[in-house]
Amino acid sequence: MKGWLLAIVYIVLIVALSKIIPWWSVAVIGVILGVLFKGSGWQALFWGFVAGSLSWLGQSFYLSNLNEHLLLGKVAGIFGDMNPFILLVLVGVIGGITAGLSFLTGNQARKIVDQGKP
Amino acid sequence: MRIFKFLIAALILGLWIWALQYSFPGKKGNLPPIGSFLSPGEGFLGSAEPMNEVFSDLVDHIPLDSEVQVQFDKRLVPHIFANNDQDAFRVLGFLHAKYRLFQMDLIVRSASGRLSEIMGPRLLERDKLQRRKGMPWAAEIAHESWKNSEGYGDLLAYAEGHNAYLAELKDKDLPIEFKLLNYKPESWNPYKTALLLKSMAQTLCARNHDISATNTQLAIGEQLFKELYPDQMSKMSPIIPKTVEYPFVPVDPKGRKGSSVIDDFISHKPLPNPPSNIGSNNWAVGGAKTKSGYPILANDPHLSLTLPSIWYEAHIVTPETRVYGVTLTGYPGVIIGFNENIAWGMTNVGHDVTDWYDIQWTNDSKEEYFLDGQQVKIDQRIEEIGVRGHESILDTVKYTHWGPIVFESTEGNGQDLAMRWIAHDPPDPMEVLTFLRVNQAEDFDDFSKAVQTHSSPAQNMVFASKEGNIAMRVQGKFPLKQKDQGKFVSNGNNSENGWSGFIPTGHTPAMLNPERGYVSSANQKSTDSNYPYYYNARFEQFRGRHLNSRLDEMNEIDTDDIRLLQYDNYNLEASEFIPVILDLLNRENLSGEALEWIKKLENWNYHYEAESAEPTIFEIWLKHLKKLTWDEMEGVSMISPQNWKLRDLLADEPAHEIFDNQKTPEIEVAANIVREAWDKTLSQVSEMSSADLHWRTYNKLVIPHLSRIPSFGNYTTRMGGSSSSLNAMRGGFGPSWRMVVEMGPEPAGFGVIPGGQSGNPGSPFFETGIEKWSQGKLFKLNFPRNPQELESTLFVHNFKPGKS
Repeated sequence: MKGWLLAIVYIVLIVALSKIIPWWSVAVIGVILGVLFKGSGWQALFWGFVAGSLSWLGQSFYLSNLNEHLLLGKVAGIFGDMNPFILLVLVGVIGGITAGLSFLTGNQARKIVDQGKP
Repeated sequence: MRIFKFLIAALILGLWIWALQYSFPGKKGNLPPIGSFLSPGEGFLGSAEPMNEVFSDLVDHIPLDSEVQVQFDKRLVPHIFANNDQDAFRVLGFLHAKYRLFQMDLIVRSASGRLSEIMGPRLLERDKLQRRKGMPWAAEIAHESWKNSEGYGDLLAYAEGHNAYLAELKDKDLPIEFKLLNYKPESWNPYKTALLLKSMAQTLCARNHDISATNTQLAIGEQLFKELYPDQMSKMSPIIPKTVEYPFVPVDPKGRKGSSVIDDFISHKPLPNPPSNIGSNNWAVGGAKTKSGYPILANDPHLSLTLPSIWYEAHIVTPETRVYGVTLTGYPGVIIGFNENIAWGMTNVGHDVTDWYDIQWTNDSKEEYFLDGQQVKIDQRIEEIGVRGHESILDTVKYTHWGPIVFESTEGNGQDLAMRWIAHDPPDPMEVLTFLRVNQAEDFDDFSKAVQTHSSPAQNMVFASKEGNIAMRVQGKFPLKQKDQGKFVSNGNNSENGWSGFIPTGHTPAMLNPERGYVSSANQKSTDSNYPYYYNARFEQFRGRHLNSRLDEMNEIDTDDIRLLQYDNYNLEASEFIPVILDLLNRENLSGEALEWIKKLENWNYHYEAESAEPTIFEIWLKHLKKLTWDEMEGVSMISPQNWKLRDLLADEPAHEIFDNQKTPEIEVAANIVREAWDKTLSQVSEMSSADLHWRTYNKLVIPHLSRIPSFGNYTTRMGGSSSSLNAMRGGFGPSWRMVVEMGPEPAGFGVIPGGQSGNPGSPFFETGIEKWSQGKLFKLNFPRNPQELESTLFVHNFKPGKS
């Protein structure tokens, strides 16, 4: 499957399931989708990061925006005088790295199987 | 090779997930696991409530006898309509849990010394002290006593409701504080209700100065001590005036007079007293003084201000009860409020009901002590204190005839002090029902009977009824004391040094419908000199006098006049000090700036307004005056006389020896001290900007979050007032609930809390009342008889019988 398509599938799954599954199972979904990805490791990492950061950042922004960022500001305040939107970016980056690493791991697993094939 | 690459990728992923799951140690305890805390599905944003939520009705199945309907009004105040009281308590338990879970958990942990369990070793000393003060022990005693009363079932019902909410609660929906501290709430039970009441007792009736008074008397001598710390004040307007007579034969407080005070300096640092700014006002004016002809009742209890607010408003309607007011999270009834027939409120009495006894051991093993010539064995209670991330700590608390030994010396022959505290005594089993009965009271008789079972913390209970009665009752359990008994640390080797009994219920001060047309209390002395029993405390000296002089002159009063009186920033203390010290102030060689300030003080109306500078100047001046005058009491653990005494000395005895500065060879008198304090004030003031001089900056109003996370608190609200003003706003302390009720055919209630109904920092209902509160305004309180009558409903929460 193409990277962008996998990213969309990932985002849809995460948004749909996030209230039901424990947070770390995003990595399980990432690994499974990573297996379906044929490109290089770097590409897997890239698409995973895009999918992971967009899904977490998007969801968080949506929730926080309804709250007019009241709580976001208060939680950012715990970390010194952090700009609340840097906290949102941080959420995105962490979601991105998690998905990136899981895509990569899945992708590498696929390559073991692919090794024998021409 | 490819396997190798895969393994590396999998390893990095595994490490990454592990790191996100791990709770790393931080400066103030462990950090929450980053992954779950930041994830949109189960993280902190779960507490981010939509600001413009379109509410839909809710249904829950919990253990109930029959259906309960709860309507939430626009401020998220629940109006609970149930078919019996216990169902209403179940639902209140559920709602307390839903809206104030962290607060409830923290109250219990803080009271019982279980904070280290969640916050680690840095809270260990605090936890140990709570155990040594016998807090869990006292709660167990109360709980045992309650078990025999019919009210116990009400506590169980309340706990059932609370626990039904917990059973439904998923980890991802935990309040944000639990996610931050990474722990889970525990179920509720009646023992925890006992801890809540003990925690209130700790705040309100553990104040004492025995250790510092002992040291001070030793330092300055008995004579000077008697003069500077008298029991009787020069000017006072007691809660129960002299016109009230006591037509009974008082019980003899037996006990031993004199010679029971220990004659050694005490090296232990006294327990931190609750700040002296914790006070309250309440009053009721009879129909003769009001515009409508109906009585009006007012109450504003001053407590440490926190977010969420200590109070949770609720309205309960059942066939037996219809009551509105503020509840404490952990107790199933209204503590301060009104029903169709009566309104009531409370202020703290403040009598000294905490005494200390020096234990004399038979030998160094400290297992036996002398009492009345006998050798008595101590009781040991092993306290296990859980410490997060560490092994539990075992601490042995020694219990004596007097109570637990709170202060233990490390050296062999030091002082070991045992605590005798009223809140350690088993309460009346019916204590549980006190407020539930008040909630249902129809007249003064019902009310008086109901409150008789309230023992501690003693409260000045104000009352007004639809029938037109107003009353005040000093309610609590008070020890019989000889004069001066319990003022100092006593010898613990003679049981006659203890309390010989308690003042009989009928002998506690009270009054009904006095001729002056009002009753009032503001933490001043309970009675005048004609009351036949001895008691002592450091009573408030200004607020009550101002209140009474205002009530004396006010007529044709309406609820808005009462509201404005609660918000009155006038400070009687300043008005009595300023003319005296300005008069004493030597004005030679004063700078132009100084003279300008003096002129401003001369023209000041003694109102502590947020934007004025005069209160700041006066308070700084007073601070220096006190420091310079009371230099004799500067040593370890001593106590200064009260401010009114300083004013009297300045006015009447300016050559008193106390004004002499101990560090100079010259003999100073009041005028020297006043000038020196003024010079210090001016040099301090010259370094402050004009914004710094604003009273609101100097008297910084703070409403911190219970967790002390700064960004969760409110530090931007501004208001005038002072601890000697009726609007008793001082730093982090102030009116925790302002209520005004007119008792007409249908009661008209008004009120505000400096906070909101929700305990969630991410909720639009977290700080609902703060703005109005700071402006001295009140909300009209909805008091519908049935669900149809509520004008604006936010949403309906239906509770149906069934297993959750």
